[in-house]
Amino acid sequence: MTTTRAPRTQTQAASRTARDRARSKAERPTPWTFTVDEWERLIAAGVFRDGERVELIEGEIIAMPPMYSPHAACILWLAEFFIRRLPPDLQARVQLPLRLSSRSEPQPDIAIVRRRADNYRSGHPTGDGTPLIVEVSDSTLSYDRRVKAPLYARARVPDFWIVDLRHRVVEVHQHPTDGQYLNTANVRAGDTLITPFLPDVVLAIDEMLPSS
Amino acid sequence: MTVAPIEVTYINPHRIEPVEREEPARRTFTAAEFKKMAETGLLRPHERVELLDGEIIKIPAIGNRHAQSVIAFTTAFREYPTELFVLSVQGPLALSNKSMPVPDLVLLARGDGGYAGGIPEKASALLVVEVSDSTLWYDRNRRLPRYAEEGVPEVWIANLRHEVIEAYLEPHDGAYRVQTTYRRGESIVVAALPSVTVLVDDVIPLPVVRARRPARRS
Repeated sequence: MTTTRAPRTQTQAASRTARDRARSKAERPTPWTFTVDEWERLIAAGVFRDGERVELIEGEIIAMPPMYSPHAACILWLAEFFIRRLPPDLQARVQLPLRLSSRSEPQPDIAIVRRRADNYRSGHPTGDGTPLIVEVSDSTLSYDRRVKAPLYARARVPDFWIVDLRHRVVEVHQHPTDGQYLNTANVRAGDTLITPFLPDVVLAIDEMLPSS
Repeated sequence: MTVAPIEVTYINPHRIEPVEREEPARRTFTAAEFKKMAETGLLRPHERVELLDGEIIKIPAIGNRHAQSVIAFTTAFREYPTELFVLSVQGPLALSNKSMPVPDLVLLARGDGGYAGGIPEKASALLVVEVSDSTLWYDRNRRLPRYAEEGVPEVWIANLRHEVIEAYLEPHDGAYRVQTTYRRGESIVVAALPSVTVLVDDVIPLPVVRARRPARRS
């Protein structure tokens, strides 16, 4: 029997073979992940508080940061811009769920979807036929690039924009291939942006992102 | 409407500025929400889950030696009169608003301030036993600090890999001040129940002998 007055940290490294390490990694406790079906049942069961902004990304429940007014204003500008100009076969969804896969149901700030007569009452839209998703980014720029971009690329959404409020830049991500966007471009204030599925429409960055 | 891939004309291409990496804010759960999810069958019932620091954790399936050790501990504790303590085996322990682990065994006090029915509360816990095969890092670094923070007086980690029992006492500031390691041939007394003794040899199963390939002769 050996007794020690332990210091605060009590971890001890044990020497093991590489195979032991690999095996124990497979047997390690891991964060619980949810499927989209379980996620929707969680919502229906009232587990989340009223007005809580949460989304499911790769099986993990992520809390969205609070909605500040510059973010809200940009979303409103984009919503009005698209709603006024979309052809009859497309709709603009604002912060509504998109059932992208069996493990992901994000709520993108703007998602252009194919119009359905029932407005997707029977079930949230999937990524099929979604020509554009826009995420407005206040403090989440790194997360939007690292996690959201591959997510939408895997769903083969042809166009994904990250609106960087802080730097007044729109990052345009295109050409989703093998889970990432191959083409990326920055569009700044003073530039204009043409949406590929509305080729006659020109978006002025200055209007979307006015300097305050 | 199909959207064909488009030839991109770069408009003022700039290097994308790096930003500080920030972690996604995983939504944490309270013990009440966790219980509600378990009760309504939202957590797959055949999986082992617990709540630690608001995070729902999936525990890998129990292995042979682990199961054998839990049975051995149960057998050992069952030898004692039932008035001494209440024994909970692989049941949840309500530690806090954000933590409800499922330790392998818990000895709970009886009587006033002791076990009062339902899911056991931390105040009635006298000893927590964690049998640790592949979960040693998790038991020492995730569970143990929570037990210390919430004032569980004694924790034993039955370290099957090294064939010892690590006994932790005196929770203080999120850690245990005293650690004693018991080896084969030795016995441990429960600090809060001096008449309860466990022999290390009884509860640590023999190691599995892994077959080795004989060396090739040239």
